[in-house]
Amino acid sequence: MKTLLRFNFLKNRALIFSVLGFHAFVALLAPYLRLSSTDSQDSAALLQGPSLNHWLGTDSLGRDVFSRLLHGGRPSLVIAFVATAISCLIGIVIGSLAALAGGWIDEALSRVIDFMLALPTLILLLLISSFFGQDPLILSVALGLMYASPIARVARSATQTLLARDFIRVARLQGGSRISILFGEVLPNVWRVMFTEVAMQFTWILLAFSSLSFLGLGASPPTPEWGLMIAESRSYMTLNPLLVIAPIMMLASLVLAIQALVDHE
Amino acid sequence: MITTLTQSQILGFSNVTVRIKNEARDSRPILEAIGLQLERGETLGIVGGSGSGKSTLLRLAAGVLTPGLVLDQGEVTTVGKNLLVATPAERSNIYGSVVALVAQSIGESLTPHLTVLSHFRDTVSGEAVDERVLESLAEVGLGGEKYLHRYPHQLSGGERQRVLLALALVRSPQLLLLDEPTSALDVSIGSEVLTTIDRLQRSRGFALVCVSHDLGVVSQISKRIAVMNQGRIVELGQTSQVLRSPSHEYTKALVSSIPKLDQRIRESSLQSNETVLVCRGLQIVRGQTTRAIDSLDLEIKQGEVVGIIGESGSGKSSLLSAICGLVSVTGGSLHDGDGYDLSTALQMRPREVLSSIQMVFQNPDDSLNPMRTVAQSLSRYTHATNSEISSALLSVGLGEQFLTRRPREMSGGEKQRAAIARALLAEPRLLLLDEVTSALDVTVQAAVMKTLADLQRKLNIAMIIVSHDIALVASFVDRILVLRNGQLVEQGSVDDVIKSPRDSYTQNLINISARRAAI
Repeated sequence: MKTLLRFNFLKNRALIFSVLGFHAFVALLAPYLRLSSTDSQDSAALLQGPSLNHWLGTDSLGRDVFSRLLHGGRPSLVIAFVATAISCLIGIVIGSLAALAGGWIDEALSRVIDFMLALPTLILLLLISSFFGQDPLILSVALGLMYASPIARVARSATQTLLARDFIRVARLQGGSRISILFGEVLPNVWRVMFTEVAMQFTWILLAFSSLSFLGLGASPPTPEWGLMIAESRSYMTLNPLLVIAPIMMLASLVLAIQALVDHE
Repeated sequence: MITTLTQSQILGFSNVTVRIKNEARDSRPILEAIGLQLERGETLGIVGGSGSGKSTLLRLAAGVLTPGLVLDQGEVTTVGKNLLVATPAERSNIYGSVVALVAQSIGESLTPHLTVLSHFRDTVSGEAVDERVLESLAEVGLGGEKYLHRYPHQLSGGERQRVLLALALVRSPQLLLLDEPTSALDVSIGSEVLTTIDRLQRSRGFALVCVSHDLGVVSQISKRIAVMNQGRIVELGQTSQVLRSPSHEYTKALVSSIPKLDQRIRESSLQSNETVLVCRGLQIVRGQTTRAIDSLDLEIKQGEVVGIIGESGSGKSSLLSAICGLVSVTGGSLHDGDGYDLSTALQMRPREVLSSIQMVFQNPDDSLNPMRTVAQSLSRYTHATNSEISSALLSVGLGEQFLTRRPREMSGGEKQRAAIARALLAEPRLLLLDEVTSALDVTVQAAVMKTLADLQRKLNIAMIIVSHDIALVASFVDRILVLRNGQLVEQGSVDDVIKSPRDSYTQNLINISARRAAI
């Protein structure tokens, strides 16, 4: 028991990689596995416990929880990938531009970043999705825009540190233009520093989208999505606790594994 | 096997081998078969280049194995105990009262939000704390109550090093371990700190192990010297013996590469009458009001090599930065040989003017983009062809194989050579060298200076070389300028300045250097 307590789950590489591998495998191959349909309702078997037919039981409409669980990460992952890409692109460009330009441009861009950071993300997301509907593309762009500001802030300071380095000075002495220094010297090195930040952002976006779904404004029923599954089943939690526990475990294990991985690097 | 120390010994290493964790057994260990004994009250200097394992050795003596390393075999016994297997309680008993270590980075060794007195509260307790602290501060040369309530940022580098020394000595240890005690200090201040250490060692009689890359430093305070190279002790003996007749190749190189005041590595060359730089009444203000440079006159001819000497804060780096355009000029005039006004901002300078002045910086780890190969770094802004790059690399002593290397695959000296080659590819008329060898080991430093001397003779370019090491500058330049607080305090040919310095500061630097060269 003592050795088990001392075992540090978050520092075990093999464990981290197997969790990530499992999630990647499931997310990519869920549609090709011979699972029962995620939508077929079995009115004869509502809210059942685990059985041979339904490994994790059924939900209130008699749908197979196991099948829905394996499909449930796909919508959030796709949206998180797109949104992270958008936030990276915007954040890194704005952040390094601010640092590189300096003066009033830096001042202005920094205030915009501060303003964006001050906005309550979830409330704004609720507004956007109630205004524009639950279109995945609009949600990705909105998430990307909103999560660009922390990335911009880190990119700005990373660029500032870089600009003080001698090889950038030499590039200036040898007649490099600002643009060529930005793309040739600064950005490739900023990216190296940014990797951790970006991976963390990815997990925040993942959680934000699942929260939206939980609140009924992310994925729309009957899409299998972890946040939505928790929301749909929380009234029946006492009858089949797995309905809520399983999607929470999936979401938590994925987020923890990614964060543990970048901590490791 | 338990190594037992005799009554008179305080530190023993027996056949100690340390490796990088998880690395193959046939790879070169960090420390290899180290055997070493230290008597009570004895002083030992350990000298070696970077990566020679000297700091790992010193930390082992304090019972600390650097993370990521494993003790492969052997025993380390300090005051009759193997500190590596001591319990935390035993250790805290031993630290301070028996063994004390002064770590290298004086900037990070004091807690920023604690006063000097609070630093002592962890180690000194009981009656009359203030008196005992005052006493030990006075001993290291920080007399007076004013130091008690200062914070680290209110202390100079030398004062910080003295506080660390007082902290280490306050519980009267029998063994003091020093890691590069002067490397972060100016030459004159470092020399004063060493004098203090020497005096304390004599009066208190503790044993001392001092690690440094600088033969001059260790020989000043230790009777015995161990020379380390690639994880092994290659030579061990009385200081005077080792210095006078070194037996190992590496020691010979080390001793002969100490710059000497009367030895030249470059002969003065023909100078034309064409000027490459003229400044009159130059003034550079940094920050709000600090005058980094105040009313400086300087003229440099084609092919002339000028050395600038000064302590940190003397304005020598500001001057170089202003000449190449990285810092703006606030007063006076600064022109190149064609009369172009160099107070123009960097972005506004035409390409020929930019290329005509190039600079090589101090830190080799910082001077190349870590993501690029050498060939990419060298061609990106100079637009040099591959054959031009190859010949530039060859001229600084780097072969073809370096074209495809990245900075992490190169040593400090190699990186600095690549940086020099890059500056040369721009075909400058004036090359600015800012402490280009101070981050390099002595033997590497001598080789790089030799390369620079050859290049200067071949290309006949003008150079300004900035350094804190007066012997190094004197061996290389035609003319010496001494800066202090932004003002020129002395200027003249090498012979004039070295033989008959007019300023007391120059005199002091020369004395320190002469003492080091005399070892």
